Amino acid sequence: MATKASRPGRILIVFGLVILALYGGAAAAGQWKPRLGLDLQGGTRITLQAKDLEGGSAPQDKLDEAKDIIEQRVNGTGVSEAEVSTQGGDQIVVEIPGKQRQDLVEQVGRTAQLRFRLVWDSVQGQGPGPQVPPAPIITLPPETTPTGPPSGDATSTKDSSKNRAVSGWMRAAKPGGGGKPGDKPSDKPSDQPTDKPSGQPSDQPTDQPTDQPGGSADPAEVDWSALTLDESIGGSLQGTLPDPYQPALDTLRQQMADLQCPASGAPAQVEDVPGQPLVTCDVDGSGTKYVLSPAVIEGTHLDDAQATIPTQSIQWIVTLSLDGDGGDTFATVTRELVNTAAQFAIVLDGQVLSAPQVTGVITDGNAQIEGGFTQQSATSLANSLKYGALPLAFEVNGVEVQGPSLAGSQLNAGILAGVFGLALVVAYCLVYYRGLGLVIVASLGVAGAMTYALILLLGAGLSFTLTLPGIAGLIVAIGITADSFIVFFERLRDEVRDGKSLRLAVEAGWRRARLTILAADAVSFLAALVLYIFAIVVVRGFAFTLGLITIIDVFVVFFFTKPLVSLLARTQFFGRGHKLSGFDAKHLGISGRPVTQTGRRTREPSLARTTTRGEA
Amino acid sequence: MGRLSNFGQHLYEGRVSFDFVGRRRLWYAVSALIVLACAAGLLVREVNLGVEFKGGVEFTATMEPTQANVEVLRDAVTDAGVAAAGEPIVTTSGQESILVQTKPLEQADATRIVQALTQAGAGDVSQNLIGPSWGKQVANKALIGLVVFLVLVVLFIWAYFREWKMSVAAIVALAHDLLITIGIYAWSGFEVTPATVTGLLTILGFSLYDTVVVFDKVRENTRNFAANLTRTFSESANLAVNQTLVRSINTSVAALLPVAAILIVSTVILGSGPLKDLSLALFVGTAAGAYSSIFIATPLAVQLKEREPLVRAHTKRVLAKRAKAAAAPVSPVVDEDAEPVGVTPAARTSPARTPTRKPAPARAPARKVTTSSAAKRSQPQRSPRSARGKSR
Repeated sequence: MATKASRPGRILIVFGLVILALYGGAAAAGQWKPRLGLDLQGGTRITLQAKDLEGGSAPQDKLDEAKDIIEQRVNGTGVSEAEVSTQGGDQIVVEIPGKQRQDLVEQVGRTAQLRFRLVWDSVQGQGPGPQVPPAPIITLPPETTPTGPPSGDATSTKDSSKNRAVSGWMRAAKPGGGGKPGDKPSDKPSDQPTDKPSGQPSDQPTDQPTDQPGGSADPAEVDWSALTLDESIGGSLQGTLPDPYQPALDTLRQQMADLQCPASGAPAQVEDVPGQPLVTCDVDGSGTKYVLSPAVIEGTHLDDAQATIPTQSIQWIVTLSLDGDGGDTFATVTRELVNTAAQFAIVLDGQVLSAPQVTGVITDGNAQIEGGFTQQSATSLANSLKYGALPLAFEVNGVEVQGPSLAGSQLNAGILAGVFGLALVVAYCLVYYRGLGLVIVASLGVAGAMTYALILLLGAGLSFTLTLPGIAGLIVAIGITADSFIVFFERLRDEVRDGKSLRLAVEAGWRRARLTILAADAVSFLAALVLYIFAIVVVRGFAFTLGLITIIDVFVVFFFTKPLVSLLARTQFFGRGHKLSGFDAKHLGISGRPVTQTGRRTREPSLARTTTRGEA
Repeated sequence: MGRLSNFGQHLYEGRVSFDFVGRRRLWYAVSALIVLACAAGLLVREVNLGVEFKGGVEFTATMEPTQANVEVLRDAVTDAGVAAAGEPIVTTSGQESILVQTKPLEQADATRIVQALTQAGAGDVSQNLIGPSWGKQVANKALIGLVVFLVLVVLFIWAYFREWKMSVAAIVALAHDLLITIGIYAWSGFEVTPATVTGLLTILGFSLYDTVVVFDKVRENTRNFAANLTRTFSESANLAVNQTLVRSINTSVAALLPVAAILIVSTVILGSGPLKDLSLALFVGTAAGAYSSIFIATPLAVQLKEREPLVRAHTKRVLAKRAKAAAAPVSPVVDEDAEPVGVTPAARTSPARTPTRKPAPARAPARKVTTSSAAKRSQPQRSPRSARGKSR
């Protein structure tokens, strides 16, 4: 006993030093408040889900690339502190603490696959409502930029992708060759289910098989790669293609007639395959439909995109600059199309941004998209284009915007629940264990101090944020931690009941309890780990804090509670079984002997009168 | 409290004993009834899935939750010009907010509704837009997590207890808790959200915690059961459950108190939300877990164990010995106890009236015990103290 005498004290001192070191680390990191999650300080979380994946999960490198691009886009908007992370192999989560920015949804998630195509045919639609397609206005001098609807127009200000025309010494012309306004399907585009057109342009039914490989009427079966740029331009100028392609073009026209454009704001529901012709709608929601050639210029040829206001203009535009190859092709196209009624189209993610006519040859690879942009929508588009197209298509899976006042009351509720829960547990322990309850309170306090320090450190090191579920995890963990102490104390009491003196009982009870505590904590930790791996991000904080505290609990029980009880067992108050210590004989349910003595009748015959136990 | 500790002491010595193991048929029946009711609930009523599983948009507007304001916001949404948002569900939530749920919307439309709500007088509006594919993923993940966890649990318990029978019993207890929790959700119509699912998975850990504590004691008491001819295996196990009863109650209460705190505070202040969903699932599950580790897991483990020839032979020997002892001296109690169940029901109503520990006539002949109640008078003591409470 004498050799052991100094041990508990030493352990306690070391343990205290460890906690001090933790706080020292937090101080060094300059972190005194835990980083709060979005739900506690307000903010925006956008979850993007990769779609059209083969095999169900995205290649990690593509996902990482997409993550980087999205990060650049978010940073490009001037939002600092945004965090972009991948999740679950096919999701990207953008978190913007402290700000309500649902307006960023479109620009972070858009694929931004920009392509130049030739317009082979088009049908002019009627807008669903207030907005009027920009009239074919000559855009030669920037002052006469097509204005589109005034910016006071309710829809155009909100919808960034409306009423655009491209100019670069070009003429924007909406009514395309052969199209009449008010063609049948465009009458009420807004009523159409938005998912309907998706099957039509791309997933061709192969109901018209033909023998000629090039002459199939099914566009999906035609080898379009053999179509030359000149032939394609011819299709745009004359509306006809060389023989092997003509049947397919007719089919495409038919598809266009059948296509029903979604209302504005609906996403592109067509599959944009660069090597294939495309039947799609104008992004402005006017219902204008196009048959487009295979892509002539890919977005990868884009060098830069900027949102600016040209001098002497009040309209925001997006300027594009193409690299050498792209510029050359663009020069060829504009040369052929100049001063004709033929159009080319700038297609973004399968939807036509604008389809201008050409009024001048552009050789320097500079083009611009204009019309109806607000500063915000122009910047958003330029930003999306600048950092390149995402290697994967994403759909918006969730947008969570947390207002500051709700976040505030959530934080308050979390803290209140914590205080309330802690008070209940402490009260219960004090009533039931009396003096020992104080040990529980002290242990909980130490565990709490350790947890707080670790949360600070993790916040500084791993940018761990405390969320509402995280707080719930902390509170729930109060119970788990208290459970360990209870297991220990009940064991201890068992040993005293078995006849051991208090001092002996502490050691014996501990030997038996520690395995149970370890097993039970291992189970809790296992649960937290599985939960952490398989839970969605939102509730991951819960699993994290739960697991964290389970580990802390083991440390506290081993290096604080046990040594403390060992020490206390030597004191007058506890060791002699004072009435309030929780160790008095009556409270333990034994009687007739003080807890300082062993109750073995065989050894101490004088105790034979202790009637409860001493039965011959 | 003093009485409660006496109670604990009596439980520990076996003077007061609840027959958890022997009356297992009763407990099984009770649980079967509850589980059946829960299963029926699942069939009759669909679980009320939250917006996270169905897809849709949930707006939380900071506004005094009065019925008039609810109508104001409902009109605001209807008049916002977003067709897809028609027929929104508007409810009050907590002390300072109103909840608006709509069908799935595009972000542009959602923004329009946020503006409409703000114009209608809402302080600030939080929005949670969930794509339709989201819920499926959450559900899938939860399912995978459940399976992985169950497999790990079987492995862990097997590794810890070296006993597949205990693993099986623990798993059955877990399934029991899960079913009851889900059933209660079905019957009550509480909303099931990802937080609920998280709570559900956490229950697994909680329920197991209890089971581990009880099993630990069972294992300790039955370690050398073959050498102890005073108790059958199942009686030793039952003593273990009784000895850990106070502990089980205490740990369960300590676990439930904080959960209850979250439940109450979040329901009163925040209304619905992840905090409430989580704590509700935890509360129901933890309560069920405390019940099942005592009433289901141990009896089942014992039942499985009793099929072992070794255990069966031992039980036979104990009973034979007991019968022999009963035949010689006069002892009505022993006769009664010849049945393996071993505990007189009277013990449950009037503690300390009857010796619940098996009369072990090895040294002292069994005899009727005088009523002593809590008077701390002579109690029958048949085995030496050193051999009691730990059958090592």
